[in-house]
Amino acid sequence: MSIFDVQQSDAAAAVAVQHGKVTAYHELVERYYAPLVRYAWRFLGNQEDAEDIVQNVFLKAYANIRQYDPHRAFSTWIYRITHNECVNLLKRRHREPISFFDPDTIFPHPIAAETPADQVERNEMLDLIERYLAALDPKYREPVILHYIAERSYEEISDIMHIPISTVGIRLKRARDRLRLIRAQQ
Amino acid sequence: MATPTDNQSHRITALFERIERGDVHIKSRLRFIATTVLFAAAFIVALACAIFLMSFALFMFRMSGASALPVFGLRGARVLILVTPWIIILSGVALIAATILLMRRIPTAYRRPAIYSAVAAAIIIGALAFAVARSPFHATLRSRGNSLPVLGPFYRYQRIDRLQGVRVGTVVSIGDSELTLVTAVGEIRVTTTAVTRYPQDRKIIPGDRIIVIGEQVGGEFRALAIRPDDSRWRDGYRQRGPIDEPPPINAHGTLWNSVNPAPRPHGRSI
Repeated sequence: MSIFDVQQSDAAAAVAVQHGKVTAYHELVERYYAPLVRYAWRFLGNQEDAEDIVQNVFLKAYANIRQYDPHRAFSTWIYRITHNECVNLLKRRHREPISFFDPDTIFPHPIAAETPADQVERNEMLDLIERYLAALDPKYREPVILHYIAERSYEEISDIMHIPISTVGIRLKRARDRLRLIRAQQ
Repeated sequence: MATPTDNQSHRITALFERIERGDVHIKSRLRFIATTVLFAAAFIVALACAIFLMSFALFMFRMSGASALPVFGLRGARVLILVTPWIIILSGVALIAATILLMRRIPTAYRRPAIYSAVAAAIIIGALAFAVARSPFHATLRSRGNSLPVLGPFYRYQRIDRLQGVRVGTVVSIGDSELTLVTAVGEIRVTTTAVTRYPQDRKIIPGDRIIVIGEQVGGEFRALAIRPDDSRWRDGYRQRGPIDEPPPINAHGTLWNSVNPAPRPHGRSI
């Protein structure tokens, strides 16, 4: 299935759930449960927390399904809910990932537009992520997870995290530099 | 996409058991529509209040005569600080910030750096505030005086000529080192010295309305700087208390006003 087909299928299933068809929700849960757990686990660093968070995410998504706009990607919407749950958990544990006034989101950043990463760079990044992701700050860790593991575009990450597209680019660049630096130091 | 593991499958089953048991219900669409309407209303209210407060500050600034003070440079700065309605301006800035925060909920705003939203809000609110300040809106509200509920007392602002170190009036005569002004409180004598600064682009002649910044020393007022008063603060001649003061009269005993200006007497200039 192409990405477009998946989005169409998601939207159709979500609309069916909006009309009270619970069975259609199975399709969405089956499709997104494992990827969301992987995302939450990488972000929080704890499998148990990740499983609990994703459970809550799907309950919340079900309760608020009529808020979902079928003209937009369901994946972005469900990832956004997951992001909020993860951030709330970190705040409750006094480990706030991002300060309220983050200069990254206030000023523009002149960076290169998003280009498809070649396979060599992608493999390098996946290797670095596997070894050193926990050493990254949460505000850099999250876009790395969303881009390299969940394979989200800059625009989708902007919609998930509610940060400017240029900020997504600059955080990914800094994350890549930091991971390479950590590797060089070890 | 990856399929759930066995453990995750158990959790998915438990999830649907909770849904079927009725532990969670789908919220009605009306609730989300109401939330959207609420945020839109909050945005409009914040925007309207910001425009009102900033236009009010501009109006007060102009009516007090303070708009003429910047030409005095640092000398006018102290007076400017005293007459500037800081509370109104800071409240307006807080409302502008609230407007920006509400605006950043929509993709068009949050996909771009926050500075763009801030600049757009400042330009739009600034332009609208300027337009409202120049319109008869505030003058109309002001004319209702204390009968205006809540806002009435806020329209009583301080004229600059009520402050220490500032005199505003019409020149009656000019001497060697002094000039005589007719002000709202009567005729006063202003002493000029070697350090007094005059306007560079025109001469002051009898009949001119001027602003003088200086200091009261004994019975005389020593001028540090003199500028013509070209502002139209006369239109919103404002005072404390319920009774309107009459406009100042010139040396010929006729009323000075923009419609019927007194003829300029011939005499010395400075």
